[in-house]
Amino acid sequence: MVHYFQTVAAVLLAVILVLVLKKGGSGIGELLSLAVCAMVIIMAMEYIGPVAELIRSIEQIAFLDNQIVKNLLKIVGVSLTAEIAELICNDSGNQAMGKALQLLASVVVVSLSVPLMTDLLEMIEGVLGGI
Amino acid sequence: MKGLICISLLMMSLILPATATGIVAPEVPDNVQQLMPPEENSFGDRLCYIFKEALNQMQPMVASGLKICVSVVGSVLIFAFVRQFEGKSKTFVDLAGVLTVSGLLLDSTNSMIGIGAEAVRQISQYGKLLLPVMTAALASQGGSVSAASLYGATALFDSVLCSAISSVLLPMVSIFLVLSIVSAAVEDEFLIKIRDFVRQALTWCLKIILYVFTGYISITGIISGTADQTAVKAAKLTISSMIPVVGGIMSDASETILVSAGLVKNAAGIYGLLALVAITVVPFLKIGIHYLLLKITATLTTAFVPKPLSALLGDFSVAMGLVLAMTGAVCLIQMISVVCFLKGMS
Repeated sequence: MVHYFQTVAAVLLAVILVLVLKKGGSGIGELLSLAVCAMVIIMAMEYIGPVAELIRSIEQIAFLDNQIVKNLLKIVGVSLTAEIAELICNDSGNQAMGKALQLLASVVVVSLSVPLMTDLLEMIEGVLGGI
Repeated sequence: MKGLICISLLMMSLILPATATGIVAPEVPDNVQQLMPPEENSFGDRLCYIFKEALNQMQPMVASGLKICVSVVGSVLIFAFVRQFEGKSKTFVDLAGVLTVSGLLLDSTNSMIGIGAEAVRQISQYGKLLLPVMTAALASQGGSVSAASLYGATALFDSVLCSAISSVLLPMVSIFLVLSIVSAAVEDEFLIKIRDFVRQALTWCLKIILYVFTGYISITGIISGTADQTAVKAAKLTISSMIPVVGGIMSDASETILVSAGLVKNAAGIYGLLALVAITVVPFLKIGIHYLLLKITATLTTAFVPKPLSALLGDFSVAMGLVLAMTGAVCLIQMISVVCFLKGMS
């Protein structure tokens, strides 16, 4: 938990620094906010480790199919990273890039969920085929 | 001289062994034979024997059911974890949750529907063999009007219910499941309404058939029972008054014959009841255990699953409840009929 509070403090300090740098008119502010976001994501990965381990052990205990959970985690990862990237783009005044990123993320998420949709259709076909 | 020869021949025919071979309950199907208890025990003991044997067969079923429930709880836990990441992915996470849970439960639910359909078919087939025997037994005891009306009603309702179950109600259970899966996946109000309508229609169909059957049985039991008893009394009175000297003795003897016919009928009826229990008990317990496990899973996961997933789990248990009710209804119709045959002219 110490790392978490250290990170929160660092982010708050970085926000003040970015505000000062932006007032100065330099582009280093955007770069700094990007670096801070990357740092926070790396920190989050550290905490995600035990959760991923738990999910894996639940998978084993519950005899679950790995593929659906893998796809699910990919979908979550894609949508979260796209959201962060979009916010950074918006902060730096590049709304068009943010929107494009959002579109890309949506398409990737839909393409990742195609196997799920196929499974759903097959399931319905299987149930109704027996009638 | 001719009269003497005729009387001698008739007397000789009396030495032939006579058995009520026509009034014997039909044998149970081979797959149920092992559940049938030894005949020397009392009715209660024989019922206990059937249930004990059936429960012994349930162990693998309970183990596989528990395995499925653990899988469902595990997957629901994973989705509850993943759902904590707020964002655009929530819809897809919910969809994946619905698909995983449906995939885990559909196989076992489909096999339970198959078991229910097979049980209904077997009960109906056995009933088709048993009821004519019971009808003949009741008619031989003097209850020809009751026998005819009971047989007619039971055969009609049994065939109506079995046809309805195999060609309408069980396919409707499958449609109900599909509607539940799709409505949980896309959360569409219209689909949810159709799903609820299908469930209501299924419940009402079963209820109406059973209400009409029990009503008909009650009315015909009262009317035809009285008619038969009056007819038997009239026949006894006629015998005792028409035949001089030995009329009273013959009337008493006819009473003995009727009592014996009643004993034969009771033996066939009790065997038939036990056979019906033996045919029904294993599928009924299998579906019942599956139903209970689904209910427990739904209750356990209610706290941490989203509403559509919770509704889906509930719908799977509702589907099992409906299959259970169908199997039970067919067995109940047959058992009520057998009990009515046993009660008739008693």
